[in-house]
Amino acid sequence: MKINKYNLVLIFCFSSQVANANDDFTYSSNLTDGFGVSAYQSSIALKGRLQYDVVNFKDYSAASQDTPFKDSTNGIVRRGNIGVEGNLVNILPYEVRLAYDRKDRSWDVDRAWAGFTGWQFADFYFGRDKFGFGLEGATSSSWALAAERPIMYDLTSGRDDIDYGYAVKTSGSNYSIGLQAAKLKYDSGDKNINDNFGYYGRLTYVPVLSANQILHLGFSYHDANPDKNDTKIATRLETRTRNDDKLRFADVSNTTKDDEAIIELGYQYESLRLQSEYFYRTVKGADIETKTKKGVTTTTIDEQNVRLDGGYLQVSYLFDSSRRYSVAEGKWGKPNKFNTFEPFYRFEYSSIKPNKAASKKQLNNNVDGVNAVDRDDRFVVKSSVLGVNYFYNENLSFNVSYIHSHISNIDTSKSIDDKSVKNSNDTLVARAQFIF
Amino acid sequence: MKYLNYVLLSLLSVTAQSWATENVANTPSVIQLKAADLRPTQPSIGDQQVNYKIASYVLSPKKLYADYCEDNGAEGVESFTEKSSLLDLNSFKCLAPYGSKVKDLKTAVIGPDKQYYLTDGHHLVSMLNKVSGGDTPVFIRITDDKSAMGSMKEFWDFLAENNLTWLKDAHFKPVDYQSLPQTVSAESLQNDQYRSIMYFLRDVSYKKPKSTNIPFFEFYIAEWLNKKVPVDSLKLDTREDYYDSLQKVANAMISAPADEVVVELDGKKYTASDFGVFTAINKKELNKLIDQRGKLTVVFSAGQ
Repeated sequence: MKINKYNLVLIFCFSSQVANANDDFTYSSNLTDGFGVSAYQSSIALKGRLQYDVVNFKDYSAASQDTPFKDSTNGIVRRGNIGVEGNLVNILPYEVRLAYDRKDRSWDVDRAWAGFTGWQFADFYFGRDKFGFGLEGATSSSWALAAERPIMYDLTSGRDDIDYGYAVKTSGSNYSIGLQAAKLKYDSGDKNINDNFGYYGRLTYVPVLSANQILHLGFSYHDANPDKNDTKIATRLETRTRNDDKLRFADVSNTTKDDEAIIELGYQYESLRLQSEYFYRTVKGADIETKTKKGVTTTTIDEQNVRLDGGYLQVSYLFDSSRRYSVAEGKWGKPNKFNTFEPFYRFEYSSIKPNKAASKKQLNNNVDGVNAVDRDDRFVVKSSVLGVNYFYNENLSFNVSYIHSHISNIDTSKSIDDKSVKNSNDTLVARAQFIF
Repeated sequence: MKYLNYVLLSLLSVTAQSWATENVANTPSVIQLKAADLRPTQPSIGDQQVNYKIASYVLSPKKLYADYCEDNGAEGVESFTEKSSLLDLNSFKCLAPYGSKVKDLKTAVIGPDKQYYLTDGHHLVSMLNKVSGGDTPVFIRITDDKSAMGSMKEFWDFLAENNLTWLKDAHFKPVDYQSLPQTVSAESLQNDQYRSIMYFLRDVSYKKPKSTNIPFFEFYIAEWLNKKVPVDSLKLDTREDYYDSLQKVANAMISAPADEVVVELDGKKYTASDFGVFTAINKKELNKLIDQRGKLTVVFSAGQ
């Protein structure tokens, strides 16, 4: 049969009859309920997200600007996703999602997974998905408290994108357990990658849970199971810019040990929420250099190690509402009521102690001239984030965050293009988020 | 042109179907009553369902007025204030006039004693009684007027023959209509634990088909499940125990063959499939129950 507009109308009429005949069939096609179809214990829904940031920044994050360290403003698409998710016969959940890459101006598959939830004792998943590592790490970036997650999530690797993996999850009325083995995702040009499966684990427990009050305890662990790969320790200081300046503390070659843990604590009483996490990470490896001179081969081995620890404490107040908490996923999410403001404050502290062999000579990834005072000394990053969220409705929200960071052990006596190197960073981010 | 004919025929088919649906139904009679005016046609309700509703209204007063408007055929709430009360219908505004969405209304039959016998909506009326008392207005669709019938026995026979009454207690033992209380409230009606379980398991292990006309749907399915997992074997005192019990019942439910007969009514066998029983538990919906604002958490938080 020739397909033309009449046939399409016919098909539409026929499908409306099917919909009437089978009352299991439901669909929604509006922003409030989403865009999806369900029938026969199965469902498919279209999901999308756009986050647009206007970022004003100066000092460290502006080091690679035309005028180094100068007050600058960028507008960037922070996140753009579109995909489908759903379930087949109640036991086969799935998701496929495309994410916009602003650097390459291209689209990449960042979610492609399927699961099996047909057994009572545990659920099984396979594919490319993000592991819920840490409390703020498990929280969807649509509903994280500030524009960016705490710096500790740059300094740990449990939230890094994976290529593919296998996960097992189970939960009860007041706990959740998640385990995963996964290979990390790398760009095609990356060298010395970790091709081993890393191991992830998370346990959450909720000793107090009522409609108004929650006490969350959690523990996350990740062993990267290194493959003599390179390991980079860096942070963007919660500042995303077009140049994407990073503060690189250390590079470890031939990594032999890389494990990390997070202790999670969260408490919510009605509108008030307090949250704190502490992390610890150890990376060990060696810079191995082999030289042949006059037929004699010599190998020098410089042992490298980095010890990191720190955390944050944050407080927020969601006027006339509270954040939803999911026991099965051990995380907070969207507000229970919308058209409300949420002011917040977060203090962060991170200590990074590389030995001299691991420490980077040039700390900025884009320009030379930012150096450590003592490459054998530790770096301490202290940050304060002050901001407010406005949740208009499920689809539209806004955030303004002011971030001030100070980094110790930066040699400010040096300069780039005659501008003194800065050991601090100031950022103001305004974000508009649209999701469906 | 040939295709155009197909289109017109198809459109005509759809239109005719809609017209028929509208006109087959009896012209309803909608009246405004007070909650105290209604009499039950069943001995029990699920107390936890009523408790959950009330607890959720404390957390979200808007939901109280939204549900009230919807259940009274007025679509939803347009506006309300802190001073609004269900006892004063002018203190809040619904999106549509009361009774205009006839399909959403609860139903009653007028008995020979001129009393209004509720055939659907015992949980709603019990909730209203608890929230704002017996004077709370409620809009009801009268499906039959049997005030001319000779006796109450004849009336109850009519109700039974038309599946408009559920005369079994919380342990699914038959009861006499004369033992029914005179009011529809959580205090006067027995607590049927299984009826509440069926409420919490909606969309978890079954979904009531939209077109079903099986009356007392949840009671029949509860009675069927009680044979598999007796209510007395379930621990239901705490949120954790209740959650475990729900899983136990849900598993029993989905394990049944789709063609297993749940109930036989008027010679017709209704199977698990007819009752919308799933073949697997919807874990996403199950997990929602125990979230911070999940039904189980809310109902067990109430009064803490």
